Amino acid sequence: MIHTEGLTKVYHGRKGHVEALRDITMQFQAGEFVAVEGPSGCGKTTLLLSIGGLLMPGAGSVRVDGQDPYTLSPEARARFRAATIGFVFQQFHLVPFLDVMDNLLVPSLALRDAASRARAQELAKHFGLLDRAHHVPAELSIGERQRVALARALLNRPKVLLADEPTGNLDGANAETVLGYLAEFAESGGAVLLVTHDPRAAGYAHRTLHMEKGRVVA
Amino acid sequence: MSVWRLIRKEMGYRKLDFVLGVVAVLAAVACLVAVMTLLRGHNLRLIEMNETQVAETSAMLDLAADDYRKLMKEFGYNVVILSKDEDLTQFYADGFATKYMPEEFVSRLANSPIRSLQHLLPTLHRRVEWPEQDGCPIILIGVRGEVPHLNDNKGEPMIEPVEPGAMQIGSALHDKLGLSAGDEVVLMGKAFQIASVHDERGTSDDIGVWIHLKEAQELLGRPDEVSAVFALSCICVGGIIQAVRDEIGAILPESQVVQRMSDAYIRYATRSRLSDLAKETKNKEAEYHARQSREREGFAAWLIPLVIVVATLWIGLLALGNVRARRTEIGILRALGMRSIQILGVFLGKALALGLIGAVAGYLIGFGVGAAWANLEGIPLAGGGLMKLFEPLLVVGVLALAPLQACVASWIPAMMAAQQDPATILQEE
Repeated sequence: MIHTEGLTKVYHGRKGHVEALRDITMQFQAGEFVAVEGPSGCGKTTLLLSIGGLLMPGAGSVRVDGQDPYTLSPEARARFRAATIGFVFQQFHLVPFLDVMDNLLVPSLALRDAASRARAQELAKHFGLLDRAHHVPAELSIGERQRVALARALLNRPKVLLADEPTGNLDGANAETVLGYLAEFAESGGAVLLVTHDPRAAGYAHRTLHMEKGRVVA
Repeated sequence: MSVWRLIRKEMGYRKLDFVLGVVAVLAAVACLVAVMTLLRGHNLRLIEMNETQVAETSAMLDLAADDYRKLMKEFGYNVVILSKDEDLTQFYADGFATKYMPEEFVSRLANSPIRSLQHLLPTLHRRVEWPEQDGCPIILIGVRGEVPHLNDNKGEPMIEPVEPGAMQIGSALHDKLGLSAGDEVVLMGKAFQIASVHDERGTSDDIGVWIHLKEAQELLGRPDEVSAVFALSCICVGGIIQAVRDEIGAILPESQVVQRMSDAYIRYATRSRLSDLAKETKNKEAEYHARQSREREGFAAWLIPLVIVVATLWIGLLALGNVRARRTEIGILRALGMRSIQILGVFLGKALALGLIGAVAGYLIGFGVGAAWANLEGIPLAGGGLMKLFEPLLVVGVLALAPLQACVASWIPAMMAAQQDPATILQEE
């Protein structure tokens, strides 16, 4: 499902070059839940964004569901991303002026799908958000916000879920809930790449990779 | 979910931001519409005033012309009856006749049945040098007053006779020779007393010396002769001078008749002058209004662009602030698959909406202010006056151009939003 080959990314700054990714080759299949851990600045988020089609690598290649997103035009890549990849972030990044239901429907702006509303209802029910459907993010608890972000990532039925420290701001119970949903997605046939510091993630992931200084070391 | 819903929700969320944007468009539109409405009011009033003025002037002119016609219809022609031998070129060159004819001609005319002749004045003219006054050149004029006409149809006499032994002098002689009424003077050896000094006329009359005809005939050695007979204010039916000439010619075949500047000409000249004056007054009034219009248009010519430029900058800065405030939102929307063009649409759509709302509100406010202002300056609003101020083209123009202006102002910020790199934004979070 996801295949990287010699993935390399170097940031060029005024204070010098930073090698965020160094020759990373990895592969994982549909239904696989992979956690990536490592110290801050080791390149975890860069790896996630590169796989997600948001950050073009300096060298090497990425294939997601058989497609190298960087061979597509920016517009086609955006559509590919909307159709294939779901994102979950530590800061949730919900749209502050939209209620829960509208936030769930934001990915439908990229892909016009008449069934989106029914799918959003289904997800709201599944994530226990139906009674909060018309509340804006500011009126939700932290756990609820992350569940909205998770449900939003699943609206377009992606094949890959990329999660960047989704439990970083959550208490233990909520973190367990989110990890449970990620595992559930993997069990349903999706691929999950979880970037995390959370030691509990190991209990849910099929594999845990460790990164240091841009390399996968274990 | 649609982009439009996203725009609406955002406008409701950042109300102040939106209201400030609307106010910018509203201010520009209201200013434009108010000034244009006022200018339209002024122009309409100017046209109306011009039409009224033309009608009033025309009516006034007609009335005046009619008045003059009535006042002068009794006035007639002045003719001078001269000897048939008189050389007219010499007559016009000297200003008086130099040939003589019998004084008896006057009696023949006075006793004739001609009804057109009035105020018959026989005179004897000669330019002489006043020997007793160092040879001062004078025009000696002998007059005997009006000769009564058989028909007695002349009313009050136009000229009083000069009594024998009396003298009337022109103003130039008074000034030059220091002569005044009551002075005893000698002219060509004969003593006279100055009866009066004429006011200045600006003609050769100012060196005239009027004495009784008999005395003039004696002094000039032309007994019972005259050089001219003036027939003043002759009634000339239908204005045909030839009829008068024919009548006189039938009685005095040894004479010729010359028409002098007549009251009819004065009448014509007066009417022409009146007409010119009316036209001049109208032109000055029109010029004054045109100048006022130009001044107002000149004021609008810099005010309107200034307001539009300021409003455009204002909207642009607000849009830029909006893009910066929504940076993370743009990043996540892009990460979730929204294309650059859709992000552009989100910001331009908002600009379009605030432009449209600002245009409608601005038009209503601007029209109200412009109409009220016009009313304060004396333009009536009642009786369809308000509708006359309404300019459909301005409505269409404002509703089309204000949203366009907002979009142009927001274009650069919207482009910046569309080109933002989601990876950079998400990495910063």
